[in-house]
Amino acid sequence: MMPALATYSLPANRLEEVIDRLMACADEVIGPTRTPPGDVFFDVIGSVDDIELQYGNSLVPPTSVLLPMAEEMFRVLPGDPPRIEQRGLEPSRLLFGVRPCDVAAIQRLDHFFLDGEFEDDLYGARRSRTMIVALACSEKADARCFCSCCDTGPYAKEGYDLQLSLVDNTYLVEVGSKQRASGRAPP
Amino acid sequence: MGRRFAICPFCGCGCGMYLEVVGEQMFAVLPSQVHPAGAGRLCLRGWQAGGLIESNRRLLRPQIGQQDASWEAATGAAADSLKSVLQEGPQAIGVLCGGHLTNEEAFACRLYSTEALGTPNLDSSARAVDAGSIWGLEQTFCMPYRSPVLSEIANSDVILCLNSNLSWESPQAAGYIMEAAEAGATVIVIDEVDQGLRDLAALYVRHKLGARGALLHLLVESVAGSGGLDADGRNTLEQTGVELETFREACLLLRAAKRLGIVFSTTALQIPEEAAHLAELAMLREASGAEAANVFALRSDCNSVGVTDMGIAPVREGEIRGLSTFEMLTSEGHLRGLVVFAEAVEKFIGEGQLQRLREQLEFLLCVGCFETATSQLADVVLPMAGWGECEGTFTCHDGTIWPLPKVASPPGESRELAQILRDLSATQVPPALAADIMALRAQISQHVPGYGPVDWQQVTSGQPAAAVPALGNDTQDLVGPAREIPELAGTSPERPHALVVRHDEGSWAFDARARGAEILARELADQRTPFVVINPETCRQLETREGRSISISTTFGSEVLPIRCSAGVPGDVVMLPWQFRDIAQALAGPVHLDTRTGSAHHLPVAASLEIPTGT
Ligand code: SF4
Repeated sequence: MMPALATYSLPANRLEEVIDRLMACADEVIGPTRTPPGDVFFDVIGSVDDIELQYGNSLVPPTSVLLPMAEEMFRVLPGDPPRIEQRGLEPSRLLFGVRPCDVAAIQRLDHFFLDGEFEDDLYGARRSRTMIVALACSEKADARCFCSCCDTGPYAKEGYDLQLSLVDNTYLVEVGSKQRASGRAPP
Repeated sequence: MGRRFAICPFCGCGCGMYLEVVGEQMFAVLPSQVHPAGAGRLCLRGWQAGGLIESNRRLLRPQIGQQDASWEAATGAAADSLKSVLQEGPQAIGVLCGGHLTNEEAFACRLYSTEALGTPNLDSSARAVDAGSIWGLEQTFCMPYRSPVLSEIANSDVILCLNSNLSWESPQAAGYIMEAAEAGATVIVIDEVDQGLRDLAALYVRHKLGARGALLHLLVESVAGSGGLDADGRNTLEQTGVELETFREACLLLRAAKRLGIVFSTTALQIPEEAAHLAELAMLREASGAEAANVFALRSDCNSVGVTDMGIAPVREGEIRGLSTFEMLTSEGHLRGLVVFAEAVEKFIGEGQLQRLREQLEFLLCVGCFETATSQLADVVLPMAGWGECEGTFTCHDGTIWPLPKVASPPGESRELAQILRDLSATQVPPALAADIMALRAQISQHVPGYGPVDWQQVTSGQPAAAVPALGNDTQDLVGPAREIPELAGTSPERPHALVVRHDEGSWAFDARARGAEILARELADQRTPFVVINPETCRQLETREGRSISISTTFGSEVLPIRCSAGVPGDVVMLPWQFRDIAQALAGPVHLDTRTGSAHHLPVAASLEIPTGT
């Protein structure tokens, strides 16, 4: 377990202000949002009002942002000979409101795609430009949660850039990455 | 990557789902967690919904006489033929609609049928199945029937389930029964055959074939009264084949229920009086202080409610008496022309009878998505956009209206149904159909009872709205004196068995959608080859085994069929799956048609079994 590099406290009523400022740190902020019928998905956030903080688990885990069901790998442009166009630079992303179990899942993906003999460069390109703001579970998010059995929650021990834990009316903000601790801009 | 909310295109549970698409390609189906029917679950069919869009059994081009033709030629030929049939009068034409048409499509079909064709013979396959029990409930409740949301089943403390094959008919409802049972609810299953749910039941009440009406009548009387039975009642009970002890226990459990859930699928309960008894039972429990007593009549198709609300039903006013589905399909020599929208007629009458029907029709028009026996016999085929290929709405079992998205273009030259109807009616009467979907919805709000206040913008944004129509006609008291238990046709000492035609896991085998979605088609393949189900002990007594053939004879005819064994079928019963329509008619005779509702079922018949000679 990596100890937090720094901790701060944030009054709960100032969270929106902070989210607003975080939104300026990345090309895309992706967070939990509710569809009109009421399901929660991780989607690109247009404004802080779109973010749903009172959610249990999302219907599709946020790992899908890093490992989408379908992705364009390259384009073949017609011509003689045809040309292969590589993908452009990934947008920088801030993944906001990730549950600790999903943070653990992202760590597993990192291990699988980046730490082995072969590195998945498409995954790696996305991952290196993604910051994770975890949202710890101050109570069980869903009746079927089992994180405590796998030591993956209710608080993330590592794998996040920032972690927010609501204690009474205050968020404990833990800084998990050097970028945030040094105040540098995200990748 | 995009994501659109939709309602499952298969059964009447109407589970909510999301379609994940990239461009025009569907990648995944995901169950909605918050939708009140599914609550995060889909059954095997629902997970395969994407297969409808990718199907390789789609109709792609208009056809005249099974040859590809242009749209102009095909709609022109159809309109000319319909005009020619109409010269014999509007009664000469019938219109049959699928129960999975969207509300907008169904409303457009109604306008086309009543205004362009002017025929009173209009019905849907959904109503053909649902009408018997829904009418029975409405007559007794004296109000339009809407089911409570399915998830309410799980909150019952006592569940009375009227058909043990729910896991196939309405899988989501069966899931809620399991949930309730796990939470301690008492499940009572009343059925003549056990097709799976008996395992969950604290009490399984098996009755003789054809005795359910009488048994339900006795139950209502006993729950209403002191719980006892007079001599007549005991006599009737004996004829139902139910032990007095079992009956008493059922009464006690029902009387003690605080939150009673009565669950059945409409496919299983075709007789209005039986549904009326169940409504009576619910009202009795509510009147005696139960917190809730809900009747969950599980519809047969994904938009059964909406299609019926849109007015897809035989027109019956004064002297005019429109024909219902089975009347249209079986009325010998009556119809000269038949228009089928998104349905496989063979599902109801079998391919043999479809052939005979075809011979008597001057003209058969098939507007649909998939290749079926009906499309193969049609004079003109017009391919239409299906689920996921045009915007629309469904009205679910509880009366809530949900949106359906367009996530892919219709394949080949298929067109949206409203457009097809406009093209068809252009040569007949000035089209009354609105030019676009919002205008069509405005027409629905104006003309369909209960849909006036619907905020269509809200619905299309993904927030459901509710529609509750009024009950049109006067109600009838259907809870009359106990019905006699009918003697099986052809009863004789030579026919010691009873043959029952009922739905099983293959009921769907001949549905165009089930055959269109590749994985479902494969899963149901072995349900398209005829067989009968008998008890393993009966097999042993006959010195035969599963997989071998058996000869079944009734007063109507004989058939030789392969055997499948199930311990859930009593020793004296032979079960023939409903989907083998031609064989069902050969063995059990023509369907028994309820002219009040248009619902139809086979009465059980006496049968004999023997090993075919030469085997
Ligand atoms: S239960 Fe019915 S509505 Fe739900 S997924 Fe299955 S087929 Fe679709």
